[in-house]
Amino acid sequence: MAYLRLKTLHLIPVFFLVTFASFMMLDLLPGDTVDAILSDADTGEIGSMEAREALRKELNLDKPLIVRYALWLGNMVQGDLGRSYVTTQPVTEALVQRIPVSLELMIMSQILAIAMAIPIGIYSGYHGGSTVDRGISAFAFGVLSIPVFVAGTVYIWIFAIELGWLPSSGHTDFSEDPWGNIKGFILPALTLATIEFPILMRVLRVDVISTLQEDYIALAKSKGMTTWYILFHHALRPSSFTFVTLLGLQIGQLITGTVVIETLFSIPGVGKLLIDSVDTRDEIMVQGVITFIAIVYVVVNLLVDLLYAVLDPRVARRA
Amino acid sequence: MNALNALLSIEDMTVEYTNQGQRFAAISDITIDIAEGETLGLVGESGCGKSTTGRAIIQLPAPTMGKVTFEGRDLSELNHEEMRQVRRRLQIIFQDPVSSLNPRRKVKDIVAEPLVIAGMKDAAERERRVREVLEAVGVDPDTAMDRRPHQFSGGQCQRICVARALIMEPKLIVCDEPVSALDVSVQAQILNLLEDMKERYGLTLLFISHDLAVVKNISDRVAVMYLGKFCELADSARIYEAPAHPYTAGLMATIPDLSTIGADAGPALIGEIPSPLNPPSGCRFRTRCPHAQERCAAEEPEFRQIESGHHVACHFPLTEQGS
Amino acid sequence: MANGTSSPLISRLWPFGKREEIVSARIEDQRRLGVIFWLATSWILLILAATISTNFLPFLDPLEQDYAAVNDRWGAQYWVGTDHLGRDMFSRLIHGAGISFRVAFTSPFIGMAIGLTLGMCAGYFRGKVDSGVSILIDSILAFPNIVLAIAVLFFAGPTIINLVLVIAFYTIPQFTRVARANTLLYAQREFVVAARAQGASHLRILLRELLPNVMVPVAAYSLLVMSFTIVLEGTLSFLGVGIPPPTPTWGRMISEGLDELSENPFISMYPSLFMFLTILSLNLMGDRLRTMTDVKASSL
Ligand SMILES: Nc1ncnc2c1ncn2[C@@H]1O[C@H](COP(=O)(O)OP(=O)(O)O)[C@@H](O)[C@H]1O
Ligand code: SF4
Ligand SMILES: [Mg+2]
Repeated sequence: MAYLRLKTLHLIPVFFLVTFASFMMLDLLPGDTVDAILSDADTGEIGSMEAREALRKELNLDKPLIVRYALWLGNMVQGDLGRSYVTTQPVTEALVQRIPVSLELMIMSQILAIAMAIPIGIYSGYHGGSTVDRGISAFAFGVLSIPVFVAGTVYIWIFAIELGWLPSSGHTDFSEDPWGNIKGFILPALTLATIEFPILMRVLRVDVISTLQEDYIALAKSKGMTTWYILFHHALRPSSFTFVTLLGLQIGQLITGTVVIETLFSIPGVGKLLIDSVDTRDEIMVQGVITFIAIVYVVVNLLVDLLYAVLDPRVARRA
Repeated sequence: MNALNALLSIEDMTVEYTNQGQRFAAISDITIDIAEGETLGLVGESGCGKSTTGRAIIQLPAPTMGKVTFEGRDLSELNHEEMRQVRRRLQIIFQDPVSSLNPRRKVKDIVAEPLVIAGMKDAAERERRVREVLEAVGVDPDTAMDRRPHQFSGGQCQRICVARALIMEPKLIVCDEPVSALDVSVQAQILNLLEDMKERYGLTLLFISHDLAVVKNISDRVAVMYLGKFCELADSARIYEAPAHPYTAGLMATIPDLSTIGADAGPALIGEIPSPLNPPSGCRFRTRCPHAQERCAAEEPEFRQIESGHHVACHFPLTEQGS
Repeated sequence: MANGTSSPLISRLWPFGKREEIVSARIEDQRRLGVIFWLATSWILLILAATISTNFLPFLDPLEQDYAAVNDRWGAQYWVGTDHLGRDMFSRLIHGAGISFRVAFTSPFIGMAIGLTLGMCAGYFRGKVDSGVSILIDSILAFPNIVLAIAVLFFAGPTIINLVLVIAFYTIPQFTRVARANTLLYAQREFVVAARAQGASHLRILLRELLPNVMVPVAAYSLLVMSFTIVLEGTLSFLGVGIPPPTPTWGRMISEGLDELSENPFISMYPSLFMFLTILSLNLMGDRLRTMTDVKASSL
């Protein structure tokens, strides 16, 4: 398909743009790059002469910009994003430890969001125009005005502090304590799901309303099928396509949400790694994590585009 | 056909558009002269290329091929500044008066805009000219100047459009269906206004309409267009009295009070207009023509003169059949 | 975006995409602004006035710590109480609005100026210009906004100028899109052709004929963009990567209150409420004005 090829080709300049921007970030540091990286966050002490020379070599600072970028890029595609000067851990290793945690959070939150959206969306659409429906719409509008960190703070206050039902922070490995692991994820995932479900719900509601206006619904009804059966089979199926689109659309929001939620609930995922590295002024780690997130973002968006084109051939034809 | 006193002459003008990736000619090989002081009517069904012709004359957009000569100068050869100078004498009035006026500007600014563009710095003089021209078109300057277009009726808006076109005292105005969007009662007023203004300002008009009845009284000559080509051109009186092209006759048959005048007014038009993206071979009208014969599909009729000043593109003109 | 070969990617990566959809779906088509609109406007004006008044009204010092009155509840001296360090929360709330509003009232204007220019040129000239603009917008959206903002504030320094600029950067695509859609619409109107027939230059047409028309929906849209900037600024402050202490910001007040939730939940809850009301008000206002002024921006 020409569209697939076009989209994949489009990836190339965007890839270079994103990686170059990530690479250039070190050069934004005020003053000498080596001094900035080696200086201690608390004492401001800069490292020994030898350490500085070694770092200068490692970052290829003696070479021209374009060569430095090429070398950096070469290392990066081989999975080498450098090494932290605070913890001495390689960036890639840190990422590999954190990725499963973030993934678990994202997947759980999306499952929850869908689980919330489907019944409410169907109910709202089925009673389209009613007081309840309008109440739900107004509620959804309100929820969309809540920043994710506000939602999380309120949830912690209510569910963890006042009611004491769930932990407000802490993370245990699934292999060590499966129930503890899931319990720790409930509030964070619920927070993310809360601010994400109104959009899914909204789409489903519109789909239900339009499905109910179709002729075959009357026919199915006359054949004695229950309304709920019809709704699940006829409204949910076309909606699943819209859902795919929306989940793709949410990815930017989801990344923001994950960074915030991991920080708020002290979940050791990629987002927390980023914020912690900012706190400890771990320049190389920050750069590595940002590069990683940016590339994932670009690739996921490409995949969503392609999936979208496969599901809806009109998109491909338009290009 | 190249009259010496032609104000505007069009030679072999073609305008191409791209529609869904396919290039097609909206009008092809149009040739005509408009004499100074004349009103030329241009009629044809919607989509036949009338507006395209009018817009190509004012070079918005310029024709793909062919030549437009205005006041003896080939417009395609003018540079930017020269073209700007020419534009003042070559104006246009559109079908939809509401869409023709910027909703966010006051009437006085809209009407004065051509003066500002022409570089007239003197605000008092501009205001004087705006008042004068508004009065001429029958709009009270005192109440109108500071209002915005939405506060006026369609007819009033069209008067303001006429005022804007007139303020630079142009030579030629392309009137693209100026009354089609208006109530019937208002149509006559605007037609009268155009006639008056023509008299007063010594204008030459290209008057476009899809309605033969509207064109009838105002035009000296009438050109009939079908699928981007001319099919008939004659003096106004002559074309209504003795239409030579079956298409013209068909158009006339749709007008109740005209069909009795026309000599050979045939049956009313039937069938669909073919797409301009692939017009029929030979005579473009043959798919709808009651007189079509084999030759019509094979050979495209030439736009030829059948009597003095009467041109027709048909192998079997009605006037020749009858006699 | 260009020539109808709109990448679903562009339209989908809109920082604002989701909210925009729900927002436009919700509203009943009324021509009146309604009570809720005016309530929302009052809230914004109230906060704005309070923020400005900190310059000349004798509010308590938001940084002064009164150890005799730690975690106070409301009273005559400290109207809504004090936080865990004995600082006056009312004063902190008002001062905290300052950063949010400074960002909300400057970033969108920078973004609007650039977005209007890009969007109007794309919509008016189309063709190559349009493609170029769409590549530019694509590039802006290649980074998730929060990540680029963190990067810039971390590497270039957490100053208010950097904050305003990086947030402004992310408002460009939104304004470009609205400006372009409206320009496309108005450029087809005959008054534009009439202006060209009078010999007006492209610049003049863009400024005199199109701008006054395109400006209205774009300005209405800017309220929604303001709400987006307040969320983004709040998120950065909350994460501790925004404007550093001691300047109070709503986002950091919420995060500072986290450890005190059991002792004094108001430290977090007041700024949470203020943020919510402010964002909600801007969304309500923007939504209302937009449905009244905009042609479908989604028809891209
Ligand atoms: N800008 C354009 N792009 C593509 N096709 C056009 C454009 N303008 C007009 N056309 C097409 O050209 C033909 C002639 O249009 P027009 O000149 O507007 O007809 P009329 O004014 O006689 O109704 C029509 O088929 C129309 O669809
Ligand atoms: S040439 Fe033939 S088809 Fe065409 S108008 Fe004349 S008679 Fe009809
Ligand atoms: Mg027309």
